[in-house]
Amino acid sequence: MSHPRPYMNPYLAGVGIGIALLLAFVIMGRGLGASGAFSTVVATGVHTVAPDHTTNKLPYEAYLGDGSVSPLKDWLVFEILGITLGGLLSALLAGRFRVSIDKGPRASNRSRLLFAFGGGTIMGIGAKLARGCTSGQALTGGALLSVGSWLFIIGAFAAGYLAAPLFRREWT
Amino acid sequence: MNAPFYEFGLLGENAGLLVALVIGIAFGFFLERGGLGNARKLAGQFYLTDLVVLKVLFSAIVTAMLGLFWLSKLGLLDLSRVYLLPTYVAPHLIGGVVFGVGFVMGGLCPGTSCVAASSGRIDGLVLLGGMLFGILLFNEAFPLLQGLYYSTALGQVTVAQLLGLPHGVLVFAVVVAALGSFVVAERIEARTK
Amino acid sequence: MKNRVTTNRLLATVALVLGAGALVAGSPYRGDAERARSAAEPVAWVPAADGRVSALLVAQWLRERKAGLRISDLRGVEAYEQFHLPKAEPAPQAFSRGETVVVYGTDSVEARLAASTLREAGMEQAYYLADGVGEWLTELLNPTLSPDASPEERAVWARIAELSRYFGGLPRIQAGVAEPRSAAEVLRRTVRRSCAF
Repeated sequence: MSHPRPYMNPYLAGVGIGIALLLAFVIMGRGLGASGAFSTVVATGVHTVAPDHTTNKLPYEAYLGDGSVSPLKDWLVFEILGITLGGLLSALLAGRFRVSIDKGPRASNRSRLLFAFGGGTIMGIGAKLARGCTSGQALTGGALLSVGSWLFIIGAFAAGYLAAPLFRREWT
Repeated sequence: MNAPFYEFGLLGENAGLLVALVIGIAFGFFLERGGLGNARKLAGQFYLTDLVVLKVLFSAIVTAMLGLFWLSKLGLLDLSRVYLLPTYVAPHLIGGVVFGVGFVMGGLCPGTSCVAASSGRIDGLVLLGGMLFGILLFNEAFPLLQGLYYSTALGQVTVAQLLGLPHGVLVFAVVVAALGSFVVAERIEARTK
Repeated sequence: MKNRVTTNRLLATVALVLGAGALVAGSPYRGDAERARSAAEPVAWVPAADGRVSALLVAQWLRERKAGLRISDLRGVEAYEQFHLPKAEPAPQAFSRGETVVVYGTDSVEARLAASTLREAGMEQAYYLADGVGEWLTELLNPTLSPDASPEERAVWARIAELSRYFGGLPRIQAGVAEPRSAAEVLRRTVRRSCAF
C-alpha cells in the first residue's frame, strides 16, 4: 500500500454526505439510516434459526414482512452494503486500507476489542430504543428538524462527554 | 419536477434498491474521506482533541437542511411527502444517552463501523458484532421495554412546529449554531495541538 | 492550508446567505393554510342510519373490547394477508344474532350491500366501513390536525390522537393540505417504513 494520504477537508466531506442525504430525500422521500439494516439482519438470522420465536412477535415481526419476499431485500440493507463498498473504495484510493486495530496510545488490543464489543452492544440497545442511530436520527432527523432526533443528538453528545472520563485510558 | 420521485410513482422498488446502493456508496466514501472510519478520530470528539465528528455531522445536516428548504421553496420538492421521523420524547432522549455512552466506549457508530471494517479495521468488525448482539438483547427484552418504547409519542413534529415558529427561522438558527460551533471547534483544536 | 481556509470561508458564506434567506422566505410547504381536517365534517362516534361507521368508531370498539364484535373482510385471501384490520376475519363466516358485525371490502358499495344483506337476514347490528382499509390507514393511523385548528377541534383531536397511538398510528400536526394519497401508498408507508431506521 502506498503512503496514506491526508484526510479530506471535514467540512467538504460533510457537504458530500449532506448531498447524498439530500438525494435520498429527493429520490426516495426518505433519509439515510444504518441501525435499521442491522435490525433486519438480526431478525432474519433469528428467524432462520428459530422461526417460531419470531412469529407474531414484536419487534421481529416488523422487520420480516409477510414472507413473500426476503426481508434482506430492504432499502437500508442495500444502503449499508453501499456504505461498506464506498468505505473500501475510499480507503484503497487513499492508501488507508490496513488490517489493523485503531486504538488510543495507552490501550492494548485486548482492551480495545473488549470495549469495542461492549460499546457496540450498548449502542445497539440505544439505537433500537431511539429508533435510529447517528445516520438515521442525528443526520436524517436533524436535517428534517424533527424534535425527537434533536433530543437524540443532545442526549448522545451530552452522554458522550459525561462518560468520556471513564474511558480516558482507552483513547488518550 | 415532482419530487420525491418515489412518492410520485416515478421509480419502482428495484430501482429504489439500486438508488440505496449508490447513495450508500457515496455516504461510505465521504465518511472514509473525512476520517470517520478511524475510531481514534471519532473518540477524539469527547476529549476535545479531534472535533471531526462535529464538523462532518453538522456540515452534512446543514447542507441537507438547506437543500430541503430551498428545493421545496422553489417548488421542486414536496416537503410534506418526505417521511418525517416520529418523535417519542423519552425513548429518543434515553436512547440517545445510552447510545452516547456506547459511542465513547466503542469509538464508532453503526455506519462508521462498516467503513472501519471495510478499511480492514478489526475493531470495526468486532464493534459491528457487538451491535448485532445489543439489538438481539433489546429484541428479547422487548416485552419489558415495550412500555417505554411506545411512550411519550408526539407524532411527527418538527422543532419549528413545536415552538410555533416559521420553519425558516429554525433553519437560520441551525446554520448560525453550526457555524458558531465550527469557529469554536477550530479554536479548541488549535489549542490542543 | 490556505486553500482550505478559503474553501471553508466560501462554504460558510454560502450557508449564511442561504440560511438568512430562509429566515425571510416564508413557509417551504406547499398548499395554503387550509385546514387538514375540515371543521364542517364532525367525527362520527355513532353509527349512521344506513349502517355506516367510521374507522375511529371501529377502533374505539376494538379498544374497549366490545362484546360480540366481529369484523369481516370481504376482499379475498391475498388482500387479507397483505393487511387487514385487527381482529378481522376473511369472509365468509356465520354470525349469531346478538353479535355486532362490521364489514369492509374493496369499495363502499360492496360493503354497504353486505351490511344491508346481513340486516335483512335478521342481524340488527350490522355495519360497514365505507372506505375499508384505506379509511383505517388514513383516518385512524395517519390522522392530521392543522396548526391553526380551533380549541374545539383540538379537544376532539386529543381523543383521536390517543386512539390512533393505541393502534400504532402516527397522529401529526400538518400545515396546509396534504394531497390525497391512495390507500396503497399509505399502506406502503405505514407498514414498511414506520420502524426501519
